[in-house]
Amino acid sequence: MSSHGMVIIGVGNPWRGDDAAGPAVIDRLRDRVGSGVALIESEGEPSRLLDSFALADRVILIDAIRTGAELGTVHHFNGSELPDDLGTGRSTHLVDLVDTIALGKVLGRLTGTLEFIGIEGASYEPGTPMCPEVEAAVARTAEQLLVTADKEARDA
Amino acid sequence: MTSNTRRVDVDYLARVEGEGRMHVTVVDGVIEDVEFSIFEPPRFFEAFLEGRPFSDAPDITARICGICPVAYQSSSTQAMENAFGQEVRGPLRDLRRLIYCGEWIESHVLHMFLLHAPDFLGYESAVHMAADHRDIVELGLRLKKAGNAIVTTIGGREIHPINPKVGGWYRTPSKKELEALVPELEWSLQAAKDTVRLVAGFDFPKIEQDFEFVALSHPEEYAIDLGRIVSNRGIDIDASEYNDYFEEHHVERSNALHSTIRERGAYHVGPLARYSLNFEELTPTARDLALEVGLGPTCNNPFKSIVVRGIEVLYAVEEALRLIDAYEEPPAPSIDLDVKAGVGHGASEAPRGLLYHRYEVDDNGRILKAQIVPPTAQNQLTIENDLRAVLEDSLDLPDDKLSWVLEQSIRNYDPCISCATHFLDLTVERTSRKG
Repeated sequence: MSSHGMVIIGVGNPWRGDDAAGPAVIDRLRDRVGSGVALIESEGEPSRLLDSFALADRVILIDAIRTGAELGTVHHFNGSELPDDLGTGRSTHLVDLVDTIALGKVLGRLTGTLEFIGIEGASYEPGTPMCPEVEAAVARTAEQLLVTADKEARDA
Repeated sequence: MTSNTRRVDVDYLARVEGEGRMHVTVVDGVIEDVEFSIFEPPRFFEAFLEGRPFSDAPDITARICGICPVAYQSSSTQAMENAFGQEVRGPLRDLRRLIYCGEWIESHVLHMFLLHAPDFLGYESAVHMAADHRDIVELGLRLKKAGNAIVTTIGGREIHPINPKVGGWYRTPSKKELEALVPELEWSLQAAKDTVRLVAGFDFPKIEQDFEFVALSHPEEYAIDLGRIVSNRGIDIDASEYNDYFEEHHVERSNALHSTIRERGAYHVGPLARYSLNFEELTPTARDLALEVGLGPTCNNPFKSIVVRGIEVLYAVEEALRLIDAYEEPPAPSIDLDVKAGVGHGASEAPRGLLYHRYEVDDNGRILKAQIVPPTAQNQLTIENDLRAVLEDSLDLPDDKLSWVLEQSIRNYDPCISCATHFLDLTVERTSRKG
């Protein structure tokens, strides 16, 4: 039985440039969403991610991504249409993430809906800040997710 | 080089954290070169720490590794206390050992079940394995969760524990909080034994290496967070002597430093080293089970590291239960620090092996210089040597199978390549000079 209506998981390493995008979105949402929404910061460690999936029927994952699109582009995918090659170099974490999503399905941890938000980054050097375009994309994504979370709370 | 060149490029991303590259050159069927290169963030962190207050070291170095933050916190706090001529004892130290047990369980179980076992069972990944062996994966996930719970209870949060500090803790747990961990740890005892028996039944390549093992050793306990640095060839030193016996070299192909024993060469850190140097300090249960599954008191087959990790999980579960049982709430969460200028050294056994820290601080405790030597850097030459040995046995294999066994050889070391996942490109280049 899921304990929340929705879980938002930001994946990334806050110390590696644009890779901080996922956790930065979570930071912006903290204290601004209701109790029906769980916020999780993750570095992609799979067993904890699997536990996080099981928290809610609706899972939203946010990670930095590399597709060659314009810096700061925000990509939206739903779980059934994740690109096949997402795990082979487009994102800094999606090897683990793709495997973990698949594991979640095989093991029955991921039974509801899954949405993936990829924020296009460029620099992943240790100790560097996010670039302004990614910062802006983080802010936009957080605001959109607040609307989503409010709607979720109203519909609950 | 001629047109007979064959290249096999493997975008190998799935199950080694980090960013690295392996390149093998085979000329006329003879191995000419094996290079294993990694990107290594601790070097960045060393520079980043300089000029910062001593108290930042545990929090900042914990960011080096998402899998083993406790190890970095342990070596850094110990080094700072050493610089101030102080030591944390009693329940404050026992809590450090206990949280470290949690990290060993988490890290070893993750590696064994989700990364290494699929190799032995012939699956491309844990996902494929889970489809056929859901029970095995579920066992691993539950066992790992017992480790997570220890780290979260003492460390204060799920990832990157925030509770450890130089001198002890910001807050110590109550006895009741620790006792809440006991039922799952008691379940874990049997689960760990089952795990050892399971992985001991895998087929292992028959490779025995003449390793110089290096690990911490302590006369009264299986060394985790305290001890002297010893080897099976006569090293027996305090952590403060580390740089007298070990040195680091810049290698052009990698931004990592390769470590060697001065005037001797490669050495091996990690579970095999700990086990082989400290077998007698394991609990009777762990020792007996090791012998039952055919390990013997030393182990020189790197592929059997999965079995040794299992033994260490069992030990960590037993030790965690013992520490919880013996725990008495301390009067204060930390000791008073006598901040002064000095040089401090800290060494502890990260899940992947010896982790050495050295700091110079000024009168105000500001960091003047930092040195962090992670286990993967120390194992790099040994990994290359293993890859050579495996290649010599396997050169006739087609490229895809050869890549598999080479990847498996790298995974024996559970290399924590950077702790933010990027890419390991594996290239096997076969050429002929005969034209």
